[in-house]
Amino acid sequence: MSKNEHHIHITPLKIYLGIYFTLLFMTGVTLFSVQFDFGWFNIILAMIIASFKASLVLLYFMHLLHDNRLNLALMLGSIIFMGVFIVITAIDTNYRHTLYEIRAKVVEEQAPEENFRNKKSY
Amino acid sequence: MSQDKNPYFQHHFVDSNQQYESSKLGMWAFLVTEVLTFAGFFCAYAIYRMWNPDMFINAHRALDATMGATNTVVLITSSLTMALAIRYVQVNKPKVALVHLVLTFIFACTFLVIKYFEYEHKFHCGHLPGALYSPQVYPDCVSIEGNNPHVFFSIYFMMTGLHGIHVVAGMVLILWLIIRTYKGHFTSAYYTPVEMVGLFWHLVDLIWIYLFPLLYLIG
Amino acid sequence: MREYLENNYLNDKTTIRSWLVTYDHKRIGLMYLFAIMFFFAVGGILALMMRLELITPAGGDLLDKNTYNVFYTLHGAIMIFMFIIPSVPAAMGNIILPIMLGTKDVAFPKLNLASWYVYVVGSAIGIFSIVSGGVDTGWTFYTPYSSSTDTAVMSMTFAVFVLGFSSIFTGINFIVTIHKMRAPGLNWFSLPLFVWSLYATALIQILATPVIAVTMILLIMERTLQVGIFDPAMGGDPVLFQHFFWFYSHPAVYIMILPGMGIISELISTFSKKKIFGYTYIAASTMAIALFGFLVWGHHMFTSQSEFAALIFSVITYLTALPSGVKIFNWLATLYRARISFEAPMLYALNFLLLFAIGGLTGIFLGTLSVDVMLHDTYFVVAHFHYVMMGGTVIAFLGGLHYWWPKIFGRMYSEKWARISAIMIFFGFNLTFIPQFIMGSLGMPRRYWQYDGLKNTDVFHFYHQLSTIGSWFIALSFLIMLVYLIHSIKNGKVAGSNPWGALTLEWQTPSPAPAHNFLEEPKISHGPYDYDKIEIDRTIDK
Repeated sequence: MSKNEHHIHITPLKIYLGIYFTLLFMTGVTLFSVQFDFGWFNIILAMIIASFKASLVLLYFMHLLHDNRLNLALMLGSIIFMGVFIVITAIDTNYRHTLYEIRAKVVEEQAPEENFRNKKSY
Repeated sequence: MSQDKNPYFQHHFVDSNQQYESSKLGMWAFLVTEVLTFAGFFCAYAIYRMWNPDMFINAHRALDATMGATNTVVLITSSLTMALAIRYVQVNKPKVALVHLVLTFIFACTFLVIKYFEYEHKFHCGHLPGALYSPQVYPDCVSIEGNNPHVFFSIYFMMTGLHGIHVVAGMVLILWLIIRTYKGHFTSAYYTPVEMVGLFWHLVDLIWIYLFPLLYLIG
Repeated sequence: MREYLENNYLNDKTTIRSWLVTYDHKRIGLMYLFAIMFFFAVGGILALMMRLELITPAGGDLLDKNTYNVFYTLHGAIMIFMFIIPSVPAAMGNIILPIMLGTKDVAFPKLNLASWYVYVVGSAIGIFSIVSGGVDTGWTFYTPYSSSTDTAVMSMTFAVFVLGFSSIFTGINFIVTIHKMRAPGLNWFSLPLFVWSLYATALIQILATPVIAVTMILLIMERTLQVGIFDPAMGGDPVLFQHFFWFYSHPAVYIMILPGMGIISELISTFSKKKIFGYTYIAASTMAIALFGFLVWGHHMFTSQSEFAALIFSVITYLTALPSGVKIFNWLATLYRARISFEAPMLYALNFLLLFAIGGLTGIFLGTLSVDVMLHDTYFVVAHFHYVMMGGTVIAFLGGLHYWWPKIFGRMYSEKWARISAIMIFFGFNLTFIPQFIMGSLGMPRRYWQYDGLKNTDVFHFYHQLSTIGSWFIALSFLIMLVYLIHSIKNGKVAGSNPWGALTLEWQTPSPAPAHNFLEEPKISHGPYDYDKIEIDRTIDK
């Protein structure tokens, strides 16, 4: 009996079917919620529902609930890094217009035509 | 799992269980790379949606939400049949598992067929990525206001295209499993490939679970 | 025991086919070793030619301006993607990791072989790209130039895409091997630090490499379908490309340095016959560097991104220095009052300590926003990254190569020539790159083919000449190394199983290693650095 031996958990049929119908129901909820406009909250609501569905698939269909915790850690880690990538890039993109506005002004003020005549080009 | 019942035991492992757990960990590590691949596209989506919120809302009306919703149901169902296929091999009923694998394959085909019709409509209306964008004025084509509507379709085609490639890859793998299950390779002592392909297939479903609301249900 | 093992992994089967379809991690690692050294030579020759061009301020001595652009692009792309990223993990790691863990092979030997062939295919596509005239965008492929230039961008980006998979496969393999295949009794905190570094590197490989794959796909889509993602005229954003590119390429530099640091831990402990100081802190800082490495990519973009983002990245860049500093101090503390023997691997380790410290500190200068505005795209940056990549990773790689050479080939190289070469590299490297720091701080821009007509041209001319002479020293020392290493394969002194008297598991098996790594099940009776408890005899005379 090696140290890796352990009883493999077999999910009952009832649970699989239960998760399936929950997923269908939540899809229906998503479609239903489209009729209402919550402004900026729309996308957050859609993502919450999608994430709930994704969690069900991950934990039950992909067996993460009963598996070695390391597999769950890897998946969560990848989602966190994805989040870091998207959020920080979005922050930069959001603030970059101020950079362009400031820079553009200063260059125009400092560079009248005369300075560029007779200059050697490299 | 004991190695005497496992004809596919590889001898650099200590026992069958180590082999099985290692294969699973390896597959999860691979799924990490898939998540980060799609992350790039989700990032592009997020940025361009931030920059062109109104155009995105207008453009998404060119997508058929009914077809998208149907595809969502199709993929979720295929996920169920895939999970059940694994379950039936685990309880040593490979013939029932085979039926479920075939069902999964059929659902995958259905997904692609619906996708084909969607793409066909896009081509008809000229709603194409990048420089190919040339909107046609037909009665069944939505006209899109806002700047740079081709950006939406670039992202749409790249994301659903990459997802579609993964569906095809999944189908090839499921077909491989169907052949092997039919030949009797899998029993409760050894079913690792079934579970590995299952994990991959569920990831394909997971990505669609996010793609559907982001592309089809905005606004 | 001091003997050359008769039936080892090299002569187990000798047909070409047995090498082409081998599942043996040692053979795969050895093939990688020869391939990466070949590409190092190619990249090095490109560098030597560029340095020759730069010896005069006027352009056109050797290369015309477009060729020069192609040369610095290829030098960067070849050195990074075909040499340095696979160097320590795929070459040294593949050969040594399973033996260090006391196991027969990696978790997925077939995936390992696939990783090798994907590398071969990717490199072939890269060679095709070079032969088709190469690329002139810089290895960073910035848009909008890369989406519009008519050089071989498509094939080179596709080559990078394919090579990325090779890296990913190696990463997956190492993660599973380290988690699941340790010998009984070998728990995480009894692992050699080289294993910790390979583990952290593998995590980075699987998390970051897919993003460069996506970036390359997007660039290819941009060029073929004009999707407009990076083109401002079509509503796109060129800086977005930089975000995508650097989200991989910054963690990539940690893929390069972490395994090198792992090697240094091994060398310092073995050649001072002293327990490594602060094992847990070195292991923890390895993981911390891997984590922080993902949060600092914007420091390559200080002159193109928003000030707010630049601020965040600058602060985190400063924090990233802390774990690296922890390591340097722990290594120094290990050396303190130890019985140091100055053999070639130790000379490389000592080289590393100074050169990496300089490289790391100059990284802090560059991480300071106001300073970076002056230093961005100057020779200061070039010198900085050569100090960390070459003075760091390459030096560590050479140290590891000399350290494990007897295990791989069963024979010792000439110690005298190895020391000469190590000292020459140190001298040549500093002569090449210190002038570049000075030039850069005076404003010499990078990627410039000519530098006449500038205010500081005479000053730059002086430093460029020094730098080029330094490059000749480096070239000469590598030539010497090539000769004595090749000579040793057949003619070197027999090494025996443990020429250095080291305590990690790979030294408990004969040299060259047996086909299945161990002749009998390895027993873990001590820690990897327990020099205070155990004295092991060396199998060669000192």
